[in-house]
Amino acid sequence: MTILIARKALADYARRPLNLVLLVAVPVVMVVALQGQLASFSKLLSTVTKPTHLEVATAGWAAAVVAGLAGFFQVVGSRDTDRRLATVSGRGSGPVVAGRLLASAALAAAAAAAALAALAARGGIADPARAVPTILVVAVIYVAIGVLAATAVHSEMNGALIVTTVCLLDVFVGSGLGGGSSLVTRFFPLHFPTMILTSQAANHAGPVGDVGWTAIWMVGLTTVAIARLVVTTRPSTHRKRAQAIATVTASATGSTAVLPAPVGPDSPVSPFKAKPAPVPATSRRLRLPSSHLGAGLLAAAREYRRNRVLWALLVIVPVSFIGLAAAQTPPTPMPVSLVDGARQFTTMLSLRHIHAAEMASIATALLAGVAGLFVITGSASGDRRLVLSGFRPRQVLASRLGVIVGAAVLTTAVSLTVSAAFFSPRFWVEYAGAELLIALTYAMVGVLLGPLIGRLGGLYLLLLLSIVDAGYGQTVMFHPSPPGWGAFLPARGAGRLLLDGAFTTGFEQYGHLLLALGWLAVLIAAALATFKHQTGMQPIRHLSAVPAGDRPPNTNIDVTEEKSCATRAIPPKPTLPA
Amino acid sequence: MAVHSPRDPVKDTSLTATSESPGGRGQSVKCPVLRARGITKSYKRGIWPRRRDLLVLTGTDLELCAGEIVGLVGENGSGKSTLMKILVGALDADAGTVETAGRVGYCPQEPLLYERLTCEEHMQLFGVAYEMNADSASASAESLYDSLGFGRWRDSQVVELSGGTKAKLNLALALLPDPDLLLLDEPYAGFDWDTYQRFWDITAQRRDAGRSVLVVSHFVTDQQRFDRLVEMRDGRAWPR
Repeated sequence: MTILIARKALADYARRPLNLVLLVAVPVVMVVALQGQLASFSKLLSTVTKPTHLEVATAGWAAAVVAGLAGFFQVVGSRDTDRRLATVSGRGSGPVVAGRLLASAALAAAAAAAALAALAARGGIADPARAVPTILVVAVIYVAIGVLAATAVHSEMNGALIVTTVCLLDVFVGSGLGGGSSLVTRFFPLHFPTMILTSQAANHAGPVGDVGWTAIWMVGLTTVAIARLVVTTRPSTHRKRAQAIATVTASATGSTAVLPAPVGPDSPVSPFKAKPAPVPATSRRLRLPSSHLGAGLLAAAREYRRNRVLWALLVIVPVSFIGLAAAQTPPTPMPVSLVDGARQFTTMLSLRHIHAAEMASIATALLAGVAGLFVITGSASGDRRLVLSGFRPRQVLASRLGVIVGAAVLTTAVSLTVSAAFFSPRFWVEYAGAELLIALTYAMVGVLLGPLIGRLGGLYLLLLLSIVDAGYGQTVMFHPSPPGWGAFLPARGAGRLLLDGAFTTGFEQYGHLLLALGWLAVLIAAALATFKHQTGMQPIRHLSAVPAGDRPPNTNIDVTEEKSCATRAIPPKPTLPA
Repeated sequence: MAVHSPRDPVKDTSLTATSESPGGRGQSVKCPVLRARGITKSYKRGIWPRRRDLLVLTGTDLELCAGEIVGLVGENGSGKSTLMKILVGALDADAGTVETAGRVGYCPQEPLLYERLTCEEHMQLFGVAYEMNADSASASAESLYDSLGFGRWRDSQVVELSGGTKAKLNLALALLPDPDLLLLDEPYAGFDWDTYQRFWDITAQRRDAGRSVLVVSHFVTDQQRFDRLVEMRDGRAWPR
């Protein structure tokens, strides 16, 4: 049974196209495409000096991302089925958990193999004795993190977001790119493994050493993950008690057949205690407004407000992305090309300030994009029904966009607050306006991606875009001007406005303002078209002479009254077979 | 109702005639409240070069009169849900016309609900969607809480509800505006016995009030509860 479960779990992994895309795309992007940028970044922060060392670390990070998501998806979709399997098999959770562990080990090996293959393809593996086992250990650590997340949350989207955020923090703020000096980052799972991969010696490992701490992380997380798996797949003890009661009851009546007792909350012999229901008094919630737009807006705002993961991210991402990154960046002067008073010049600015400003834009783009994605995809099926019930698609869209704009404003405010702790922009209005433009732009990217490629696919593309565009595409940390290829990406205009507002007193970036507004307008138009296509059905017109809303329910209507018909004519398609 | 030949698909038989409602307590009604004619629908399947059309509906005709309960039955994959989605406007057909009279209520097979809104908030939101005034929406919601027996969950978010309670809310949202025509796609899946009985009580009351109900089901156990059954076969609707 154990082998069978492991095989089926691996087959399930292979059948999910997104898994295979991630297995190939993440190592290629991190080890091959982004490696040069990451090396420049690391060199700038004086964390890892040798490019080959960072190459090995990027392979480890790629393995971590792939393994974490593989571990998560393997367990999250099968939790209830696994418990059922453990219950009906009569052998407890042991074989099921063993099967999951076997599959997890295979997934970790696959993730490590994909990362090592990308590393070998890029330029070979310089130190295989160090790289191969360490990358494998990194994959095991992240498979365990993925399994832990899967045993804690039910929502695929929320869990995937949690695993990805942990991984992003480990990579971008941890010991590889952020340096190993921060006390906080020493508690990150990949702190010591990254030290090994980048051939840095941690002077705070004590007698256990880097290898020892790495092993402790791996064993510790794996043990906790196994314990959680056992808990979530263990058959309910209530069921055994219910069967025992059934046996006694049947025996007491002299019956020769011992029948299973009906179990459940309403059963007379049920040992379950039904969950106490809320008080059925009048609703505690405020009434919704009577207008379509007002009711839709308020309902959408309530839905957004009740997503705790979004609130947690709203705090964690800015504080960690901006705060930790800026705290670890040395205040080294850097040349940056700026325009002030119609005069272009190059000036020396603090690397810490530049880094804080750029991380603020990445955090804002990411958070606003995720908000757009969550809001638009989380309500898609309900929105279709709402349109069928009488809302117009534009009213539904307006209420969703209203909430998304609110989320973008909130995200901007949090990012500005955190970045203000590290530097004070010279032109606050322009700086805040640029942040807001980035937030709105990426919120629309999220709105656009959701219906096109789905929630999870949208999430990963959004993560990639926000880092590549708002991060590397617009950065001035490597050269006085941002890279030329970044001019074709959505954050170019707002990114330049942001730097202008952060470090100059005047406003001259009219061209970039137009560029940013142009991108925003195009994305809004595309999002509108996509949404309309998604919910674009013809609601049935109400042609009854007596509006149903003014009738008491279930009263006899005058059925002798002649009704006119609402006709929906569907033009024939000539390509159809006869 | 007009008599259909068992060998013929359901045809337009009484579009202009005034007929007696089967359950309308002798009230004279105008037929029909729903008329679908020549509905065809195909889905694209596979990836090029092996892309092909899967023809599901091949010219389906269907009509419902006021005060009639009709069961739409058929094997899995026979096109029942596809037809239902086309009738309600959730899916575009390739060809054909759909005509409806009066307000239409739709209960989809899968509960289409907002996870983080409560039952009460759903009632309010859909009450606004149906353009009901607040008092009548509230009265209708109270009546549905009572008749379907889920009033104690009114302040619970959908994500906290059991499958059966979600199904009740799903049905209640369709019944909320007291629609003239109710289209139900496998509405009682997940109901317990009591709720199942209450569902048929509500349906019978609706018929008595002259409302029409079309129920999609892959099998029919209580055949006597329907005025007539229509079977989906070979992409068309046949009387049964």
